[in-house]
Amino acid sequence: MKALCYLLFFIPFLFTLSCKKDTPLPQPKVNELQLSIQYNIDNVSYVTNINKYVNQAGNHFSISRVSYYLSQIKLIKSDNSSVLVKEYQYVDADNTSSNKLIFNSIPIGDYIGIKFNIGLDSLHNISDALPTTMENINMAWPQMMGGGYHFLKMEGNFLDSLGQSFGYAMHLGTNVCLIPIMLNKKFTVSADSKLSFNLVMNINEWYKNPNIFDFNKDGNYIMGNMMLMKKITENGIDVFTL
Amino acid sequence: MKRYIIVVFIVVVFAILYSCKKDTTLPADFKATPYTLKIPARFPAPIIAIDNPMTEEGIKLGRMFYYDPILSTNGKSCVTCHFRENSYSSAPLFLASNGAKISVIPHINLAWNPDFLWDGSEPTLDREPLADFGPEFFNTNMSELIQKLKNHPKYPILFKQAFNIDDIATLSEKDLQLKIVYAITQFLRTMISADSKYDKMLKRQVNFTPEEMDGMQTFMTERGDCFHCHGDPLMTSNTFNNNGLDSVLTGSNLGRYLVTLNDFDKGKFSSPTLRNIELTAPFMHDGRFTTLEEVVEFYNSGVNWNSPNIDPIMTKPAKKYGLGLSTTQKANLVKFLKTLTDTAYINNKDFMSPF
Repeated sequence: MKALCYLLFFIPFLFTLSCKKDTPLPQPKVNELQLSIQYNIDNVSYVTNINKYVNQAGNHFSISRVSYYLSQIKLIKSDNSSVLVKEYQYVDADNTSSNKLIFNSIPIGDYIGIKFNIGLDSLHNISDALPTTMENINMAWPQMMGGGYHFLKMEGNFLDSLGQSFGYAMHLGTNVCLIPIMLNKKFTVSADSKLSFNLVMNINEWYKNPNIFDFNKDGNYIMGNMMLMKKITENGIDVFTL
Repeated sequence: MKRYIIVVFIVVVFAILYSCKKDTTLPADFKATPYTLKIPARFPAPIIAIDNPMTEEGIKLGRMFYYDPILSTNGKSCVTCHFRENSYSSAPLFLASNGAKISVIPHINLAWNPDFLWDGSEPTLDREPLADFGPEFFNTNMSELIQKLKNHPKYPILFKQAFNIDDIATLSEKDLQLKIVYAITQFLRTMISADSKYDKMLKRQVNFTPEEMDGMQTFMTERGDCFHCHGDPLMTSNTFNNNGLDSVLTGSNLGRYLVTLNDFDKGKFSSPTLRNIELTAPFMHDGRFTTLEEVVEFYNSGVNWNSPNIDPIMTKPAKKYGLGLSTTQKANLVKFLKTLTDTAYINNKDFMSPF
């Protein structure tokens, strides 16, 4: 009888407990940083195949493809130490998801910039070093030409001096053509901070500074021609702004 | 004793009769056996449809449909146009109802194709064979087919095993077509080629001759520049390209444009895999070249630079006056292309007729 009384006494408590609202578990701190890669051609918006752009050399051109690797993406702290947030990233200008880089669990602190390479660092620029995705396969640099991967593929059409349309293919690769980028930007990562920056590529910068690249004079194809690849490599230093 | 023998005889006769009875009943919890593709080294992940997971039973059913003319009213089956010795392609061109002559695409490594047909008009392998029920191919009479399948000694149980369908006749014609196509495409995905001399050379199991090595040099470097559209290991970039076949584009030669209506797609066609290319003549979407030598000569000296939307890779300066390959280099390039022939593939018994 006594036991029954105890039971009757506790049953309402059990119901009350079972009806209790779930308290949300504390979410892990994300400390997120998002980089959204955007493109323009001297402030003209980027549209595949449609717009005709003009570069520094006066070439009228369109763009059918911009794909490339970024590697060793690091955030630079105010004490000049760095935080590696991504080993490498394949980017296709026409693929929205590949242009949105999200880094989580960034250590709290003050930062002064972001650095990365356009192209793959030498440890990854080895044939079959990357997972065999279709994107990586299509960026492969044949073993017989030294192996590794294309760092950059920019393709499209241009009008030659007679107004005739021809294709161009700016294909960059090999370790000596790796392009180190350092972008200054002061920001602070605090607990639960969610930062978002636009990383903007001006495609015309590939053709103007310090070397004016003219499709009619320099050619419309650089792969295998180290002199032309170096020209584009040197121009690549300032294609991005943050 | 005599009575005993008669009893045993009757029991045996019943046992035999019972064993011959059609059995479409399976345990209620029967599930088809999941099948995992064996991915060759260095190949990317295959494209498997979420709504058509591969199973042992589905593949078995698909293999039967691939060979069985039961699907048609004209005696045709898949192998009417996809001959094993041609890497499941066909030497005769297919004559479409609009009069266009089309080179039959080989069935090889389709699990890695993101789109199908020369113009990419079919984005999903698991829908692509649906057109085969039409008058151009099988001219299927669906109500007749349902009855034939329902009364068939094997198909009812195979449908049950593969798709848990108790009664074929309860399916709508559309659903039945889809299930048949699902089974066929499961089988197609198993048809993997990665054992050519080229593959063996990469694995250091065989050596190339000096001529084959020279041909590979042409293929894989700027000398011939084949690799951009036919890169290793699939020997295709799975992209649409205009390789400069024609300077004026009309009719079916408009290619991808006929699907997208985008002017920039005029003249573009799916770049096919070159695996087993030796077996798949005639070449190009319309089969205009009958030999690999003709193909190589086209790339060496016959590309139309003024073709609309010609691929940028085709217009590099050195190509303006052709590749400039010597007679020997051209012959060696053909020899290299022949190293992509996979005889183990066309002799694979798992792909042959189950009948």
